[in-house]
Amino acid sequence: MSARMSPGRTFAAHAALITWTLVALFPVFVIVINSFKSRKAIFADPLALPWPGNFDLVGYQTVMKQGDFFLYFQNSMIVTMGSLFFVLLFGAMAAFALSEYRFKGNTLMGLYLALGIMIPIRLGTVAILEIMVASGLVNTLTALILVYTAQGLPLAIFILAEFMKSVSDDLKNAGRIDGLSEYRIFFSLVLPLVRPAMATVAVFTMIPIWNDLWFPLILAPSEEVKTVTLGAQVFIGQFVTNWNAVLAALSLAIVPVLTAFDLVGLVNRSTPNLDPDLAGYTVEPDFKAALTRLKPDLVNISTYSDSHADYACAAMEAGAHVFVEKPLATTVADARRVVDGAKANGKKVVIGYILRHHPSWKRLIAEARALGGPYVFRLNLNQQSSGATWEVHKTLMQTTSPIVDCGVHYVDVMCQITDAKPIEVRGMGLRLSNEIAPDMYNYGHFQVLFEDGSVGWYEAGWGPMMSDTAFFVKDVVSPNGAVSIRMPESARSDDHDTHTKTSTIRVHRVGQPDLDLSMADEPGHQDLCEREQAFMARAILEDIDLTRHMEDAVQSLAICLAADESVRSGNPVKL
Amino acid sequence: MGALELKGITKAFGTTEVIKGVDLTVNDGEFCVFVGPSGCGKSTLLRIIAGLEDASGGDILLDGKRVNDVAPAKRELAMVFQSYALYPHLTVRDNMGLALKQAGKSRAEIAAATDKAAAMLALGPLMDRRPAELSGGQRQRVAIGRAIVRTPKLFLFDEPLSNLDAALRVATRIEIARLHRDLKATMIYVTHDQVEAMTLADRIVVLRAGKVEQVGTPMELYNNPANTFVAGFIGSPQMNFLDAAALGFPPGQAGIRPEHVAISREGGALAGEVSHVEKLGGETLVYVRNDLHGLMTVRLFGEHDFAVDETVHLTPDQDRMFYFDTDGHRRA
Repeated sequence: MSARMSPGRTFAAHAALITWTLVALFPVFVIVINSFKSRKAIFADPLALPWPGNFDLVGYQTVMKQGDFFLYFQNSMIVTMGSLFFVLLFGAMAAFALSEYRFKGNTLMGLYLALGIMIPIRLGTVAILEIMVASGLVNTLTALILVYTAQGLPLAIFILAEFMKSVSDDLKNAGRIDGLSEYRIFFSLVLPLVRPAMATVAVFTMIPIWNDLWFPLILAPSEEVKTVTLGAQVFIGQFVTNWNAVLAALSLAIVPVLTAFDLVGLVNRSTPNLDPDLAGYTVEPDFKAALTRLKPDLVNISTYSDSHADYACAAMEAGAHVFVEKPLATTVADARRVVDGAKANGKKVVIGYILRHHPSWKRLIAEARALGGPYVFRLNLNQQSSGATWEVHKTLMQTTSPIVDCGVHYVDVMCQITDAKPIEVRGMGLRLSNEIAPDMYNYGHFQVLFEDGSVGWYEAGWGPMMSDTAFFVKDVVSPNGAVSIRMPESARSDDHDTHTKTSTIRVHRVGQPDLDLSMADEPGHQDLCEREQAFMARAILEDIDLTRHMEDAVQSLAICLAADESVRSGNPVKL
Repeated sequence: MGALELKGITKAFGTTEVIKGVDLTVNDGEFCVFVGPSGCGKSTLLRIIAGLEDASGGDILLDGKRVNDVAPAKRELAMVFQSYALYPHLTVRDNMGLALKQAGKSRAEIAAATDKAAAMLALGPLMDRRPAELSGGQRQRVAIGRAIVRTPKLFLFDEPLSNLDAALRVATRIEIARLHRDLKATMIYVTHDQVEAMTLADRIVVLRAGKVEQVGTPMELYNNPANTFVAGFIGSPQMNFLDAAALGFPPGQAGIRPEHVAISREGGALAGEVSHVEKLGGETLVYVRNDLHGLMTVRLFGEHDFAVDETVHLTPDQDRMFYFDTDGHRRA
């Protein structure tokens, strides 16, 4: 764009567009939320979101029981695609003839076809039905395809003829002199040049066909040739309407567009107890063999940290994108190897920094940046773990200390707030249990010094001996005030949801009353994982550049490893 | 090889007659230029020769054979278009080779022919590019190359230089002249630019409103125009037309080219005021307003100083005057 718009006009334009988007999406939204509710709940409060009190899948159950929706989908698909193909093929050919050749009645023919745009084909329903009965085509998909082709042709010819007139005559004549047949001129010279018009026509043609109820009802009402819209109508009766089922059926019609990932296989060296949702998948022991056999598009690596780099590189060499849990590796060299591998193979690597997808953390970072630096970061997470959780912690500590394993998240938060380069790390730690290796420590804390003067403190301790006092400090202080995440005192320290669930963000500005931002109804751990998964899907589908994402992961790992080195050597580490 | 004969060609679109009976012979190896103002039918005539339009009447003979009903591709001719008309989806090499491929030539023959044409036009480094990656001049060279590759009996050029800038136009003009000398092929060239016509043609066909006004070599047209239209169209700046009766001749017009008028401050046949002076370095054009004959142009070699509104006297060279009757025809 050459002309810059003023901020006011930009805002107005966006406001108008967003409003219209919301208006357009609202019916879809109402359909989807109500499809998950009981009949009573729908009528009691149509705009209420589904919640445990009114949640009901009866609609979907009815749809699955009563109709064969996969067959209906298939029928809709065949009819729409078939009609589209013929409309585009014949429409383009007729448009070419009208625009290219001079013959008697050319203009008249064009007008006659344009008339078809104005006269709805439904006026001829009786005659069409008679023809279909006479030719034995009633209750066939062919009947629908024929009718829709006729319905779509006038507009297609009208639009395409206009576009084809704009294709250079010289080009077509050059083809004729070079001995190309009229078909070759049409298919290989003219069609590629009117592709944008073809796309427009395709959209205009497709939508009314997919949505049509009239002709399926009249020409093909029998079970095996029913289309989706007709299938949904089964639930709308003369006296009683089964709204749950109608809404569920309509929601299902939207689904195919949204599916992104499909699980093709699981790999584990041991045989874990699988979640009931995963029943039916066998667990393979050999990662390399599984890669060769399954050829996955994406590999999710959630192993212990020391194997991350090797598995990630192997997956990328086998042509897969990679989602890898944090930390990216156990050494900076290994982390760098994964990043280089991603660049060399042109693959996407997303590292599991789950807090980056968390609305409260995003808010914390935004509020802190608004206050302005330099900053004091006070962050910790101690976990009083016992039983199975303590066992997991002990296994983790076979390779990684708590400040490295968990620290990468919080160092990442610090780096996102200050933007300044970290210059020095000082760490110390203590082994508080005989159940871990002699050179490992289960409590540690470290300080990071940044170029802009910011200082950060992070503390992590795992084990049955840890206290529940001030185990969750998320506090950023700047010359202008402070931002903190506040947690009810009753929260438990070893619950996964505690790390990710936050309740209130308090913004304290010097000389002003505190502002509490309620973060109720926050996403749980599963929801965050889904957001992370959606980010992974977008990164692949939209080819998002992940260079900064990967570099951030390497940097936060480098800081935490430096902290570990400082703990062991007793000396500060310059970065 | 490559003589063309047109016999009584007419062409009508509906009731509008755009070609009104054209008879013409183009000899083998001749460079023939159709020239005329926009809408004179020159491009339509070229398309009829190519077979892209059907003639409403008359015969087209190539090497003595009637080709009215022969498809364009079978007439053994090649055409170069004003808009280049390169196939956007093909590389330069494939653009040039397509006609031979359609004619069923072997891959080796096609490669030999395209390489030869590429060498003639210095297209070597561009062979694997697509038209979108070429400049205007390069595109036109490719279009010419595509014509050469077919070794046609007849080359047709439809205003090939109109889309090029002035410098490139001169360079490409020279290139086409060189090609004609090297290939010794018959060429028909359509243009509205009389400079292109004069510099390139062996013979010029001047067309007006669907009719041939005069056919001749450039110098014949310059020195011996048949009527006021040809006299005015050929030569730049345009010929001066004076009122013949006012000069003491039978009624009509008297034509004198600007280079054949003498100018003097002291005295001469016609007095007038200088209305404008154009100094081009090598030559000077003086526009003089005469009460009887209107604005007259004088072309002088070298640099001359005349002030606007200065009174001067003009003397046409009597031997170089052309006399036309009231219908514009040249008097014997």
